[in-house]
Amino acid sequence: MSHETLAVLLFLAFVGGTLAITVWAGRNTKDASDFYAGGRSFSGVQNGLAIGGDYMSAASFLGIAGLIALYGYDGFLYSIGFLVAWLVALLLVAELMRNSGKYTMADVLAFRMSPRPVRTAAGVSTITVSIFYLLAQMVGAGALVALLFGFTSDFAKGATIVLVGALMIVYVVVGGMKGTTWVQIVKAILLMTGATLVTLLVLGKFGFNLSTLLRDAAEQSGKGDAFLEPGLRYATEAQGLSGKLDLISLGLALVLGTAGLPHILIRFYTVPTARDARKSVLWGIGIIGAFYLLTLVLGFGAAALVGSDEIRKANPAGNTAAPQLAERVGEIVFGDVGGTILLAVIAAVAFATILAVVAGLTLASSSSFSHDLYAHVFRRGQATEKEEVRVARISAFVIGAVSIVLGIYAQRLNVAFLVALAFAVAASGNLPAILYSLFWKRFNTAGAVAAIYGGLGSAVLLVVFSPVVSGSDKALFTGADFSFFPLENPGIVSIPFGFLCGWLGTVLSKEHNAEKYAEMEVRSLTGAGAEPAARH
Amino acid sequence: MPFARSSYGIDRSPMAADGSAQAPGGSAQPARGPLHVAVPAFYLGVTPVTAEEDHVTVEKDLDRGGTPYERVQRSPEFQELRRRFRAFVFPATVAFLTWYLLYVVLSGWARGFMGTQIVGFINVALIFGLLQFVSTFLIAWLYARHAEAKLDPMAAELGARVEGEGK
Repeated sequence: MSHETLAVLLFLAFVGGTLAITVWAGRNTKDASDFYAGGRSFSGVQNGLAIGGDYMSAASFLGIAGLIALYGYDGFLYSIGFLVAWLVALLLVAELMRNSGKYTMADVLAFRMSPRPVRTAAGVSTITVSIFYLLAQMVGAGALVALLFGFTSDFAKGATIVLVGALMIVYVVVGGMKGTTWVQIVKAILLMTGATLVTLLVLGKFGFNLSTLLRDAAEQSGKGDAFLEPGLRYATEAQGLSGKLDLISLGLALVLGTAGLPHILIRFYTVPTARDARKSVLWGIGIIGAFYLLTLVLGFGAAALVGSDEIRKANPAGNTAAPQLAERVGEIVFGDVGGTILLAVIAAVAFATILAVVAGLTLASSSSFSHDLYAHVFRRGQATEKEEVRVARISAFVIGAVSIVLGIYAQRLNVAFLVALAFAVAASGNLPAILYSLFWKRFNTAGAVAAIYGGLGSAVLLVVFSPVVSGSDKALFTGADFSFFPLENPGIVSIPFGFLCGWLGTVLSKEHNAEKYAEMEVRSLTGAGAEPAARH
Repeated sequence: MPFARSSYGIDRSPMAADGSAQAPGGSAQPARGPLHVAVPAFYLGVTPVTAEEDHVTVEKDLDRGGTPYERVQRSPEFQELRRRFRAFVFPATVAFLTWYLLYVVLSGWARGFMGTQIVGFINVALIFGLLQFVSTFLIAWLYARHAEAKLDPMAAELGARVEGEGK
């Protein structure tokens, strides 16, 4: 049996299993709290796994392993930013948010403010961030099938995007948060198992000596010791000062973006109490940290055992490094059959990874559309729970369909920058609004609206006028040049700008609701009046 | 209303079983007599917004002023809970962000130092990166311990108090 057939069979088993769970979850989804927050009945450990499943995207798994395989040490920078970021969520956001919110990020912002402008801003930002992220994953799925199965036609890539999109729509529309969470839990377990297995085989090959692995990786890379040092990918000598500033800019967006990503924030609502939210982030940190240590070995292992040239030949961005490594190390340890099996396993895991992440993103954006924009802005809080859930399901379908179309259209474009952009927007617009809202007594509607639009607008505009969109041969539009902002990452400007807008908007407005602030502060710290778990 | 009947309009019994969650300013507090309305706000642990608002707030609130949330917010116990929470998370956030940015800046500007090999092919850059993992796990663990011991019992007590008052 070829690896393609086996991978398809394994993937079908995953799809079959998760669809069964989804149907079961759908039967147990009765009200809005079930659909949006899984009835708030997941345990800390379950939600911790789901956090891992939601967060460890194909960009983390295939992307970082590939970056390390091609550029060595610099790929590791991404992992560190992605991990340290969870401390912001743990210390400043998760528990307070669980105690004072209900279904979406906007619930926390709208608590003591004028609901319509704040929910509109938060809804726009949530949907924008989620679509950016979603698009990058969809295009990634199309590229992955081409790489793993040798389908290079646009039709095959398009068909993959349609398949991934259709599955994510089913997960969300039928299973709501319960179904999506279980898909993420299953994926997290599969991904950790697969990555651990390959890592152990690689380490075994090198006698569990990290130094030997690094030596071989440096040799095979053709770059020598420089492969083990920063500077091959980011802030290279050729880029000079702007490269170094770009590195800081990226680092800031990675570390501050996570706690502003809507699909991550809504995970804190799926547990019964703030203590469970804390516990789930602790589990999440453990799983995500372990995973990035595994990718370090996978990346250097791919460089050492497969070689940078062969990886670059298969995919210039290195996205196939992990599957290629799985095949090679399988062959070395178990022979040809072992290589085929291991490649198929990792390919199927990669697809499961994409599916779980896109489902989380679709759920976050459709929840915000229905709960924030439809129920509170269009219907001014008059919509019933039934109507809200119906609209959420319809909008999941529409957002899924839109992202399929955009994904097919964008498959020939270089959209890898969209993940970094999603983090930058989350750090520049959402995070200032959330932190001010939770910690600053004086904060008000004008401040929240200014922070979100200011951060979102500046991050997007700076990227539009950056070298990733025009003016270089790797840009989105190679034919034009309107890049006057020299950095690829907007964070170093847009994050302070978002915080500044939030402050300025606040002090320029006289609005202040002391009574609601007291309620929010007491609730957020004590858990009084927090939304309870479902009883059914 | 020149004098308030009870000190804060809320029960002042010790909160946590371990006795760690008492009001600031002493462990064994004797029962107070009627408080004068002009007691300075800082004594109650309230941050006055303006000098003018200061005493007015205290006068209004010594018994039943404001919502249950406002009364709890002004209580010394809640102020202590907030202080304990912020006294951990704010310095910890500054510490890990500084530590992380130091790592990023060194990766950009101190290539020679980062490339120094320590043991075999393991260099400073790799060790620094791995230490970021260690510090993240460590801060997470310390926070969990702090929250379990110092925040959760007090939060539970105050939460029950708010919900009791709301009825």
